[in-house]
Amino acid sequence: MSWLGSLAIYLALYVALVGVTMGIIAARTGSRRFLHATRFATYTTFGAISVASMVLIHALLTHDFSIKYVAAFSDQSMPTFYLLGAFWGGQAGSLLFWIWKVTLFTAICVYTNRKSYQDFMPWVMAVSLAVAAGLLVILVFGSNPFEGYHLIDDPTQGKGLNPLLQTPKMVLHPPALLTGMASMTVPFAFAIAALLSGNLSNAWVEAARKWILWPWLFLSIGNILGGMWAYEELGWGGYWAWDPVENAALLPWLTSTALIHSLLIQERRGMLKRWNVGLMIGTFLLTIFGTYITRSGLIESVHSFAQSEIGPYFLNLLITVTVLSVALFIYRWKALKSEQRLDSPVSREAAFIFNNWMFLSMTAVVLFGTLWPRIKEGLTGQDIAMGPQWFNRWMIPLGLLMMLMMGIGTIIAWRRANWKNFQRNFIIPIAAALILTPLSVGLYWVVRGQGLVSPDSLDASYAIIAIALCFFVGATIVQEFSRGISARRRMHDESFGESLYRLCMKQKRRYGGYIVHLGVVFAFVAFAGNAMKIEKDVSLAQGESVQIGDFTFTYQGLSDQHNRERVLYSSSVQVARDGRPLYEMHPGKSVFHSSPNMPVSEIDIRSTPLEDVYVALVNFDPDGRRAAFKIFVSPFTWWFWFGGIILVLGTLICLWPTRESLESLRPGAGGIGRAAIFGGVVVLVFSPMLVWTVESHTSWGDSRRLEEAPVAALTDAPSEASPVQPEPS
Amino acid sequence: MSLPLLIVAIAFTLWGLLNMLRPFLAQRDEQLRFEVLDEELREIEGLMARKAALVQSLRDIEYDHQTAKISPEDYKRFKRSHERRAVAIMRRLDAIHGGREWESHIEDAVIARQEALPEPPAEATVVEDGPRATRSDAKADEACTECGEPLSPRARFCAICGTPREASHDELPRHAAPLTSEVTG
Repeated sequence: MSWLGSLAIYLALYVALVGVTMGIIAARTGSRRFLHATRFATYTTFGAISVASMVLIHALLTHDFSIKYVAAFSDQSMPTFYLLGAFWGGQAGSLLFWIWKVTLFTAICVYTNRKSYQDFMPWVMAVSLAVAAGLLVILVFGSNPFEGYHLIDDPTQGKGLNPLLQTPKMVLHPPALLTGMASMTVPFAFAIAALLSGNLSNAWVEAARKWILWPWLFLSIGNILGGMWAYEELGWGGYWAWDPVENAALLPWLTSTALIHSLLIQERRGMLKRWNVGLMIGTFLLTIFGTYITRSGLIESVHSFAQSEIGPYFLNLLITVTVLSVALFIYRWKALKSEQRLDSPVSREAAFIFNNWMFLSMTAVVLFGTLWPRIKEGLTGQDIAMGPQWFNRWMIPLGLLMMLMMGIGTIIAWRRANWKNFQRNFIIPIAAALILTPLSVGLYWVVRGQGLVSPDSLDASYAIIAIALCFFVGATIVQEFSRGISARRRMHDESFGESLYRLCMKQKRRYGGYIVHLGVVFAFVAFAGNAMKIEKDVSLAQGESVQIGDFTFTYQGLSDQHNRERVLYSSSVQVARDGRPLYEMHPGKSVFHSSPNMPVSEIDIRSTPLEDVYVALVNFDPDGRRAAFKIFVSPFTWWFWFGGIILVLGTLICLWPTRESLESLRPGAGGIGRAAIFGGVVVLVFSPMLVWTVESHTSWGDSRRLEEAPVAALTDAPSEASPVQPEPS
Repeated sequence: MSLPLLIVAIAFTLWGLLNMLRPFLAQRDEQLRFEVLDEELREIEGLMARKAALVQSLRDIEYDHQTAKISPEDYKRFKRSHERRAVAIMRRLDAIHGGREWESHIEDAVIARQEALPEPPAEATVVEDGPRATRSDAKADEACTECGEPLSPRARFCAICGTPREASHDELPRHAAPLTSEVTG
C-alpha cells in the first residue's frame, strides 16, 4: 500500500506546483479558464494529501510494519485511539498532517469564496498552494512517511509510541496545535494576495478576519490541552513552564490576538494598514519558526522527542518566505498609507493600538527569552538558562497592563472620549472593582486563605491587582450585555433568555468577543491564585504525615501490579484537614517494558474551584516503606481550564455561520438544525470540564485507572526491583 | 473504516483532477465559454460585498451611539458618510440592473451570453462581440419611454428617471427584491 501513499504525495506536489503557475496566470490575465482549473487544483491537492493520510492511517490500523514510520511509532498492543494518535505522533506523520490541514483549509476557503473576491482569489490560491508545495518538498525529500524497509529487515514488531504521549490529551494536543499553525496559511495568503494584486483596500481585511479566528481558536485549544497534559503528566505542578517549544506555540497566538484587534481598527477607520500586513506576515513566519525550533532541536526542551533531521529544510523555507514577503511588503509600503490619523490619545483607537503594543512586547519578551540563551551560548560559550522567574518578572506586569487595556478598550469611545462617555461607561466597572475586590479578598482570607496561604508581598500585590482587574473587566462585560439585553427587550418584547440568545446571534463578533474576554478574566483568576501556590518536596515513611497549608498528608503504602505492557506502582496517601480525613489519593508511576528508563508519572489531582491538591510520586524504596512525593496546593487553578472553555465557546460564537454564509454552502439550511448543532457544540465544548471533574473526584484520574484484573501471563513481566532508583538524600 | 475513506479520497482526487483538466481538454467552443468574462457581473459581486460591509458598520455605529461610545457629532458624521457611500453603491447597482433580482439576472445573463457564443469555426474575435450583441439587443427591445435609457430585462422601473416600465411587459420579477432583506439580516 505504501506505493499508493508515495504516489499520492508526489501527485500532490506536482498538482500544487501546476496550481501555483495556473493561479498566477489566472491572476495576471483574468482568465476564467485558469481560475476554474486553479480552483480544482486546490481540491485535487487536498484530495491527494487525503489519500496519503488515509493510506498512513490504514497502515497504522492494520499494523503494516513494512513501513518504517508505522514500525517506529506504533506496536500491536496499542489501542485504536492511540494508533490514530501515532499518525501525528512522529515527525513525518505530523508534517503530513500539517500539509493536510493547509490544503483542507485552502480548499474550504476556495469553496466558500468561489463567488466572491474574484480579483484576489487566484493569488490566494497561488500563495496557499505555494506554501503547501514548500512543505511537500520537505515531506517528499526530507522525511517521507511511506519509506519502507528492504524485504530482508522487515520487522514483525513495532517500537510503540513514546509512553509519555499515550494519554488522551496528548492525542488531541498536537493535532489542535498543528491545525492552528497550518490554518494560519489562509489569512496569510489573503494578506499576500492583497500585496500582489495591489488591491490594498479593506477587502482583504474583511475576507481574512473570518479566517484568522480559526487558527486562533485551534492555537488556543492546542495550548490549553498542552498545559493540561503538562499539568497531569509531567509532574512539576504547573501548566506552563516557559519551555521553548511552549513559547514557540505561544508566539503566533500572541501576535494573532493582536492582529484580530488591529484588523478591527482598519475595518472601521482605515488605519493601521501597514501594521496589519506586517503583523500578519510576522504571525505566519512565527508559525514556521515554531516548527523549526521544535524540529531542529535548536533549543533543548521537554519536547525533545520531536527532534529530527529536517531542521535545515525548515530553515530554508523560513528564509524564503521571509525574503519574499518582506520584499513585497516594502514594494507596497507607500500604497499602504493610512486613510485616517489618530484623533486623540484618549480613544478606542489609541486603546487598541496600546493593547497591540502590549501583545508585541509580550511577543518580544518571549522571543528574547527563548532565543537569548542560545545566542549567548554561541557568542561566549557561556551556558545560561532563562527560567520561569525571568519570564514571570516581565510577563506578569505586561499581562496586567493588557488586562487593563482589555477593560478600557471595550467601553471607551471611538475617535475622542469625553466626560459623558466616562460617566456613562466607566463608573459602574470602577465602582465594582473598588467595592468587590476588598470584599472578596477579605472573604477569601477569612473563609479559606488564612490557614492556607502565606504569599510574599510582591506576589500578593500582583494577585490583588489581578483580582481587581478581573472585577473591572468582568463588570464591563456584564454592563455591555445588560445594556444590549435591555435595549432588545425595550424594542422586541422578549424574555431574558431569548434576548440574550438573539443578542449573541445578531452581533456574533461583538458578543462572542466579550465572551472570549470573560474566559480571559477567569484565566486571570487562576493566575492570581498561582501567586499563592504552595509547593513541597517531601519524603515520607509508611504511616508518616506532613502538614502543607491546612492539609495533612499521610503516606499509607505502595502496591505494584504487572501486566504485559508495564509495571504500575501505585501509592496511597490519606489527605485530612483539621483532623478530619477527607479522601485518599493514589499517585503512581508506571514503567513500560518498551522503555524501562522512562518511568511515567501517574499524578493524582483533586481539583475544585477553590484549590487543586496535586500529589506526584517522585521516588520510592523497592519495598515501599519510604516514598518521596511532590505536593502542591494551588488555589484557583480550576479556573484556568474553565476560562479556556469559555474562551473556546466565545470564539465559536464569533465563528458561527450566518444564515447567508450557510446559504452559500447549501441553499435552504434550516434554523432548527442550526439551533440543534449549536446546543451540541456547547455540550461538546463543556465536556472537557466534565471529564476533568470526573477524573479529579474518581479513580479515573489517578494511578488506579490502570489497574486491571491480574493478567494470567505474568511470566514475561520483568521481576527485578523498581527500576526507579531511590534518590540519594 | 479507513479503507472506505481511502476510496472516497481517491474518488475525490480523480474528480478534482478531471475538473482541473476539463477546461483545457474540452471542445474549442466550450473552452471559449470559460473565457466569457463579464466585468459587469464582477462589479455587481464587488458592490454587493461592499454594501453588506457598510450595512454592518452602520449597525455597529448605531449600537455605539446607543451606548455612548461615540459622541453625537461623530455619530451624525459617521452615519452620514456611511449612508452616502451605501446610497452611492445602491445607485450604481440600480444603474447596472435595475436593482432587482440580481442573482437570477446573473444566471440569465450567463446563459444568454453562452447561447450567444458563436459556433466552433468562428474565431475568438467573434466571442468578443457576443456580450455586446446581447446588450444591443436589449437596447433595441426595451428603452425607457421617458428618458430613453436602456432597460435591463428584469427592471420594473427605469434606473435613471424612475418611470415604471410599460404594463404590457409580462416579464415581472418572481419574488421580492433582495436588497432590503439584506439590511434586516
